[in-house]
Amino acid sequence: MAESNITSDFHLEVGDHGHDDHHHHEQGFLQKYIFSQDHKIIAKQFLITGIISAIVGITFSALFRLQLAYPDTAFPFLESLLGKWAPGGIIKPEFYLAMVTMHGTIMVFFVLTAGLSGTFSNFLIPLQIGARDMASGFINMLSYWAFFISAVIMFLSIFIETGPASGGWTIYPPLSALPQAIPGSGLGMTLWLTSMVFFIASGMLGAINYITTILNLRTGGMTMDRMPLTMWAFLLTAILVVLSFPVLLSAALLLFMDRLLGTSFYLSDIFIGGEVLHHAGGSPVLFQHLFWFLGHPEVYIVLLPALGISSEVISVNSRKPIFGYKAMIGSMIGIAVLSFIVWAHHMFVTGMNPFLGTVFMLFTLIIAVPSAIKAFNYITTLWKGNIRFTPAMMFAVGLVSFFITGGITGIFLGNAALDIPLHDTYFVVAHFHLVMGSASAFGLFAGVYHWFPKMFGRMMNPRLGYIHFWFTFVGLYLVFFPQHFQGMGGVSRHYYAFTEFSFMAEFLDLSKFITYAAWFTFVGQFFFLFNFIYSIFRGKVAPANPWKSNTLEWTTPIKPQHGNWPGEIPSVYRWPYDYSKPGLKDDFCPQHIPDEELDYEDGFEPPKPVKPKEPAQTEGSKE
Amino acid sequence: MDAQSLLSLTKWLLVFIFFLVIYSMALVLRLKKIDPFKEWNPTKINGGLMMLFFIVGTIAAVWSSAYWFPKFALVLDPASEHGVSLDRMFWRTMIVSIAVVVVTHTILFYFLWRYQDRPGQKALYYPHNNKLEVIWTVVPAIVMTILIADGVRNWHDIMDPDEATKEASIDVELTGRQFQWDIRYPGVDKELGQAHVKYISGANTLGLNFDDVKTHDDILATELHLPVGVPVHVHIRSMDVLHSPTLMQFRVKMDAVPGMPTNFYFTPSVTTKEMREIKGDPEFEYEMSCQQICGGAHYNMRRVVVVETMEEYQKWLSEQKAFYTTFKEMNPGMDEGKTADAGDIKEIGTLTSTN
Amino acid sequence: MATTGLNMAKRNYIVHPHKFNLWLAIISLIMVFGGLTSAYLVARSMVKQPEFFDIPNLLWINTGIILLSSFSMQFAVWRVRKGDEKQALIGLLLTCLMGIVFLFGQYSVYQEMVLGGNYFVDPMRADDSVSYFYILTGLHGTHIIAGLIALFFALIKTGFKMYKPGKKILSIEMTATFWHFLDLLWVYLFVFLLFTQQG
Repeated sequence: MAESNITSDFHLEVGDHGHDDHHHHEQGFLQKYIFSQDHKIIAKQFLITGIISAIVGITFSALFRLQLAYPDTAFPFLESLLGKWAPGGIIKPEFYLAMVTMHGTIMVFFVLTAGLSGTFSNFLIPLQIGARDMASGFINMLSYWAFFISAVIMFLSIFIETGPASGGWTIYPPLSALPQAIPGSGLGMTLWLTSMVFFIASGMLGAINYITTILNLRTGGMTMDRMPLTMWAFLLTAILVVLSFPVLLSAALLLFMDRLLGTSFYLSDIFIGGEVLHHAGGSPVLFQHLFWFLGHPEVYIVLLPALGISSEVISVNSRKPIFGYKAMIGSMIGIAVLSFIVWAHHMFVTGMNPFLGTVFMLFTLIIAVPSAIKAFNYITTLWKGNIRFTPAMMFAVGLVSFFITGGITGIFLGNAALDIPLHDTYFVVAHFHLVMGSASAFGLFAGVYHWFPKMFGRMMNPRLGYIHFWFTFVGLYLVFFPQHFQGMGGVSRHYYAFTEFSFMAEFLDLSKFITYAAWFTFVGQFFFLFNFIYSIFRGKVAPANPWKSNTLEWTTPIKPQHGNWPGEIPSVYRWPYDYSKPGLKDDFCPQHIPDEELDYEDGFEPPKPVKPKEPAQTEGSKE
Repeated sequence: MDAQSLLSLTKWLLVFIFFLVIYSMALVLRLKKIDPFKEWNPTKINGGLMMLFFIVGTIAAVWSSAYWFPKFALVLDPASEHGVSLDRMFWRTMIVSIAVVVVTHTILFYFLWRYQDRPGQKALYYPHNNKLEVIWTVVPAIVMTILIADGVRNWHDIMDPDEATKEASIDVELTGRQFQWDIRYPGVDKELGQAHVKYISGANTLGLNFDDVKTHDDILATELHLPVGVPVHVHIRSMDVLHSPTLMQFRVKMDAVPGMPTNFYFTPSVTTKEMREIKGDPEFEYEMSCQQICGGAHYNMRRVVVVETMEEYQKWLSEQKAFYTTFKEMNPGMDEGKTADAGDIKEIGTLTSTN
Repeated sequence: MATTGLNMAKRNYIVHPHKFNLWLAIISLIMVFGGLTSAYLVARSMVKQPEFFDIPNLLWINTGIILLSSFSMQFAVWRVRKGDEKQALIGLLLTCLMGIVFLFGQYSVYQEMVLGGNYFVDPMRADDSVSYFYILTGLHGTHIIAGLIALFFALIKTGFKMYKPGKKILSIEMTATFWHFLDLLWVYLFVFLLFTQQG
């Protein structure tokens, strides 16, 4: 290539790492596990930080569900757990909101963004496209440590005097801007914003690296239309991150100024705490525009990786090519593009111009089309398959179910007129917990069960996996399905107790039921936690390709070292979904084996390649 | 030690022993390398469980929906005119949704059960079929278009009512603050006087500008009374943070934004009395709540809404005292040395409402 | 080693990955400033009567300086490619100098603004166009500082002859790209501020 002379120093650099591995050069502990630049270690760091965040996040939800089920009952253990926030064992309303806010923030950003996309983008991108590492290992390391600092700040904010941020995960000003309005908007909110600045930095550093790696470091023969769908999903997710997170940064910057220096970007005409504030000319709606310009793509930043993972897992475990590979890519691109022009559907009843409402309703409901394509393609992939119920497969299938049931209520909420009554009710809560929360969490679980052997060289216990699946699948449906009923009864979101309104009080029994279901699900997660930790150390040693998968990551040694492949990186000869191809002896056909080396069935005439493709000559991708 | 704590101690002890027994059993089995579930075929079990989940789940979903159906007050028995068409649209969308969920899930779980891994079985190599793709692109697109058309029409009708409705409407102002709603009626002149946070002083918590004579007959109420069948123009303000006045039974909701007045038009169509009969609940009241997180007591911003006949409404209104009168009684001599000058009333409110 | 090197040659490069990273970072910076300027426009559209203020004329001079610095930067890159470190050093020094002068210029603009009664936080104003002015220019200024740090490293590398003509000149090329971007960004912000102050 023309620029090969300029780029050669980069080759040398990466090549040197490969060189090190040949001689089993030992790195120090700090370099190997803490400040590692190896994408696999960084992925594990993301995963473990994500799991710890998830424990905190769902513990919060388990606790505040108690309050919703038994608004007047004292639980003495809460006082010993939360101290002054639950005097006499009854949670304070302000702290209830703080818990909801922390639950939302932690689950959306730390678990389902960093924990899901951070883990699997880092882990899978170099392995599945055939690269030694990310384009820049250093930036990748920075990305993790920025995330780590962000998580530490966020968790610290829980323990401060005035409590953590309490304005909901969407931190709408003026509530989030005025410490007079709620105690959590004091130091807690400042820490929240600081934490998010680090998080945004982490997300952008990571995403920049993912895009560059996927576009530039693919192995020979790995054209764009031969990439596994996971890669496409991660690529599009990273593009969404690069385009949307900066806008959140702008929004946060202006909010910082309003809070610390007293500007009035978002504030105007406010009387609070017995005095009129000096702010004039700002608009809280402006913040909502900026926030949701991030916020809506964020939903897909959370969901797309899960969809990518499930595509791969479903295809492998039903031993069939994913149905409509190109349609899947097309619909993901469609979803990604549309996600940028639908943000205001979160704002139909905020006093925004009604004409805008019409436009945004139009775009929003169009998203149903690519989503429908994806759902139907998943189902068709299962048709006449040979379905192996590995735990990963079950979670992937569960994802499809959640994606449909949760997604379908989007047509109600995306409809501006129907959003008037439904906005901020439990109908919304049910909707996004199913389609974004549960579906993405299932993507995360599917990914962990599927790639655990590659990550740790050992298998997870499938039986515990099944138990975990059934607990979670049944549990989540029992939690979120009845929430639609509450929503249709008009029960409002962010409510500390449903006792003050007679129409909400009717749903108190249902609330109790949901709480039981939530605790049921919560308990089920310990099967996963135990299985995960136990299997890292004591699990069965994994075979090289436990799921008989086609993709490149299974061609590495069972525990790949820095540089991934000890010898040459394998080249790629076909797309990754040739499962059960007629004429072949095996029901899979790895990407890296040339046609002439395949094992054909007796009497089957292998097709003569029209134009022999020598991967060494593949210059540039097909885009 | 009393009996109560002894009982609870025994309970925990039993739980502990239970786990201990399970743990030791697992340990023994592990040491002896016995696998009690060796004969169990996970594929068959999970495939069967998937089918079982689908059947039990469907029954449970149908039963629970039927059980809770009468309580779906947000989508049944609308008490306003636009609520009728909204509810109709809701249930239409619901039918489409249920059809989609039922059909896709039936197929999904049937496939899962039917195409379980069997020894010697090979899956069908079936990578794509453009005809199918086109079908499930076009069909949802058409359905969506219909729903969008319906939605746009309704949205337009609600947000931008015709001039006649606007003319005939009565005004009422709802102001949100932490944590209550202030309700203001325009009084005899049928026009709301000017109000802004900068005029707040003492008992004048709403910030009425008494230099504006229109405020002098404004009425502050603790219940929202509305006449049936007459369009209401709700002016919505906030003093501090975002609120969202929600009249659930009327399908009314619009955020209250500090610095940016918003509004909403609707026509109540069922009086409180009639609704009590419909619901069969003599205690029933329409309620107004807040649905935008606004602080600790967000869950408790309740106001009762009373819809009554025009005569009852007029009678109630005439019994209310203008706030200015009350205020003057409390602050005698407030007008001394000050003349109402129309020139003082400047254009205030820096932000324009967008609708 | 040899095998690895051979395998590497099969890469589907378009541009060098580090450069690609830089371009993506620039895109995200564009989104930051795009977000802020559109926020300004949205805020402006919500205000009934926008209050205007005079853009200090000094900004024209600052714009000229930053535009010139782009030329000296590019000159330095060309010289480094030719292996002429001495002239490259002059170009880089000039660029640095103009960057610093620009920063001081911006500082004087702020002084002028404050003297003219246009404060960052002004309770008396009914809109926040002045606040946006400070935010946009200030944020751009911090990026100029980041650019100066990058320039400083390029300066050292040139001084110690660490660039190999035709080969290892990645970091100076990336610095130049970033500097040109900051230049263009400034022109955009300046034009934006000029036009929004004329109703």
